[in-house]
Amino acid sequence: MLLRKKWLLNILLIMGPLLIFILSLGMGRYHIPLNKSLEIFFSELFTAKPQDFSVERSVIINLRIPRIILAMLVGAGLSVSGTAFQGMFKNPLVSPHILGVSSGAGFGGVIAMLFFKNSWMVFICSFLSGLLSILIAFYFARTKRKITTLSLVVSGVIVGSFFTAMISLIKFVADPVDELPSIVFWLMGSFSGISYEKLSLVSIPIIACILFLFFFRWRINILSLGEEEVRALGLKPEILRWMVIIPVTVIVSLCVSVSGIIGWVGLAIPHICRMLVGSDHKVLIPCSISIGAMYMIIIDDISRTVSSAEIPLGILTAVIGIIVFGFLLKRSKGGAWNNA
Amino acid sequence: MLEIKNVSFSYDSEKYLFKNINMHLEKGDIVSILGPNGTGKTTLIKCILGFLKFKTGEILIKGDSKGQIGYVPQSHYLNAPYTSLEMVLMGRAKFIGNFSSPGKKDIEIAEKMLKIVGVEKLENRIFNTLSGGERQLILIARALASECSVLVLDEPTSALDFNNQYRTLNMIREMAEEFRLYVIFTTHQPEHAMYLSSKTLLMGGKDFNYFGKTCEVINESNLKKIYGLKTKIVEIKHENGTSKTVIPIMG
Repeated sequence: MLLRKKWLLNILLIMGPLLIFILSLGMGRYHIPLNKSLEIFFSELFTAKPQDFSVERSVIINLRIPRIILAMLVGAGLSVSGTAFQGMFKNPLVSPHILGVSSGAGFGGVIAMLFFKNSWMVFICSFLSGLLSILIAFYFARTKRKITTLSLVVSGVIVGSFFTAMISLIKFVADPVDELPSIVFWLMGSFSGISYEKLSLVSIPIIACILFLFFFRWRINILSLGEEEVRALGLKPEILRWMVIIPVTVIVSLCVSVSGIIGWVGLAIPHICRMLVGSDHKVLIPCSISIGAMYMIIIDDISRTVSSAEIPLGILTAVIGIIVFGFLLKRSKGGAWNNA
Repeated sequence: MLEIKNVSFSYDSEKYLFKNINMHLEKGDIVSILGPNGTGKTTLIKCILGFLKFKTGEILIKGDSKGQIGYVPQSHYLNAPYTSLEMVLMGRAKFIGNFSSPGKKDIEIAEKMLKIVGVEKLENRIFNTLSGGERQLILIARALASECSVLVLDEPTSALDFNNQYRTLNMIREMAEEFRLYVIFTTHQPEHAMYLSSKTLLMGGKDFNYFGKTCEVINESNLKKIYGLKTKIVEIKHENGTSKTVIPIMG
């Protein structure tokens, strides 16, 4: 455990994302100095009718704010999902994508891009096919009226691989000049197309699911002991398991539907948090919500600042996540999983 | 009174693993289950805990107790990166809602239980880094924190050194007396059964299951029947009384 003082940790976890949110308002291709961006943000917040119709205001209010909020939601959602799954499956290699939901959602999105060429249809199709993929995984996992954790993981991997193959097939048949680049770019993840309408549509369920996992967090401690232990403590593991899988599925399919497949957040952030605060989900879950949100805003800041064309998020999360993760792993002598 | 009546179990409907087992316990009784590998000791325990379902028979608990069963698993199965206190707190799970966390009262109870089993100093140590004996005691504290009236232990001494085996057995006896528990434990050591339990269930395969007072059930001819091994039960006098031990006779 690196952070032992509880009050300090709480302040960092609450203030950190807010601070990074404010600092990020000015960042991007169109650079706005901090005092100007603060002025615009607070005058928008506190005055009823804005008088300012400058480019800066339009950039901050219409582009940056929804984008940063989305980054926070997706980062927090994916990393809390990863933490919950790693705890529940008792396995540090698990990410929220393990049950094939993201590949399923990705497939739906790609299909919609090919046939409808409408960003709302991409959103709807990918969300629905994410849900569909977990239903297929249930179907294959269920034998003798029972679903074991292992069979669920295996069938999740099967379903995920199938949809990955289907995505490859669609890439293969897509028009290489017109359609293929947009499909590839979408799959690698971006927050650029977000509008307030879409944001308000996804934010309520994502926040609801994050809150659900937040209040459920002590039960995840118990789930991480394994099925028989849960039963011996007088609880029903089958029911508790769904209470993790359902919110995670909703979060992951919504995240993919608005921002493509962003890998590594749900794997690396839970580990980093475990190194910081230990394995008790009572602290670990809030920590991964906050650090996930901060991490994703910073990744998105980098994505829109370092080059003239935006770097896809999936690439940045992998590159930066792996480097940070690698050094932390080395420092903590093998990770917090075995002995915290 | 705890009564286990006519219970049987089979994985398929033909071959029974055990048949028509009867046990009855008074409060504070300690029952040992003794028998060779593969005769269904662990299966019987899993049925009592409700992990598996008996084919026939039932468990009855009469009297004032609610019949909550506390379980102490073989500790080496667990990979739990939690502190001892967090582990014991999990015993309170039933009393804590899905969407809340342990409160002050739960923490007080958990700390009290750690103190009762004598490991309050380990409160903030990580469970995985403790020795087998310490982990066993913490798992006992966890079962006690669940306010159980029945305590079931699966080979509580199997992973422990000589001294810790007897420390754990003594602790089980103290807890059974203090909390008036029904205690059921499995073991591979006839000495441990004789040392701790008032009653014993011998499980020697399909037909030979015998329940009774430990001193009557564990005898040379029964041990020969279930293990196929000639033994001699010896009583040794020492300054604190007498102890019994079992010596195998080879050749």
